Amino acid sequence: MKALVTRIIRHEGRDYRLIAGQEAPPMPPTLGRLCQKNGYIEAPPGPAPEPRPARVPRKPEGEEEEG
Amino acid sequence: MAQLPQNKKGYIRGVKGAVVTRINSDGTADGTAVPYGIKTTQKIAVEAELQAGEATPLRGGDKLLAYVKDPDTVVGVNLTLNDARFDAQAIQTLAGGTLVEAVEGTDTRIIGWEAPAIEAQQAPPHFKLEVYATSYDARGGVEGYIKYTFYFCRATFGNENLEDRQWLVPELKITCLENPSTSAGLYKKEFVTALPAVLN
Repeated sequence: MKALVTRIIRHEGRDYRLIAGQEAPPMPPTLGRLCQKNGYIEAPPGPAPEPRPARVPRKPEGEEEEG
Repeated sequence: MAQLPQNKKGYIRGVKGAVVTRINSDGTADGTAVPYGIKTTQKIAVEAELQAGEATPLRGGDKLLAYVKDPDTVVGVNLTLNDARFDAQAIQTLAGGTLVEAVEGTDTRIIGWEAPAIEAQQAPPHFKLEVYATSYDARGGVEGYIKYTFYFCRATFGNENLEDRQWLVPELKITCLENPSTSAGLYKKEFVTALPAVLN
């Protein structure tokens, strides 16, 4: 994920350096969520959506089946 | 239509503060910029940068016959801003560099500033600077404020002096030039009735 700002974030005794436009360093999930919330890093792309099941058209009431 | 004299006496004293607003490097306004107020300025020195006109004497017969001097031109203004406190956000807004932030719960808090690398200093941030000082009337009453607007500035972090029993007053060096995106002069001074919200 790319960093959107240039910052040094200190978290649990470690410094994480964000440089705008460059790939953000690996960071703990809690810090990653906080940085995304603050707009410091891009949000990760979400998982691919599940394929939707095909729709079966409903038969209108009273219609007799052919055959 | 007659021109009336200026609306204030203009006896200026002290410095109330400065407001910094980032602009684009071509001088145009940055729509995303948020003005930042520096309320603890101790001193802002304004020094004109003069390009001296050429002087051409003409001599003959062991005496000076004629002397012509081209006009001097003020091509820029150099400011020295002394802030009574270490304000990391102010320094980063003016001179670039990197803020150091510490996580506090679900937020972050600014705890420091790192100077910009030499490479980053080749493309410094640009900003508009507004400086406010109090204007007094002849009886010593506050009649309003004077506002300086420096349209196109960039800054470098300046000197610091750490000394026994002396307060540290960080310094920033600011260069103001004509804004390339407008036809305005270097800066403007005008009377205003109130300070902006970021300085209150």
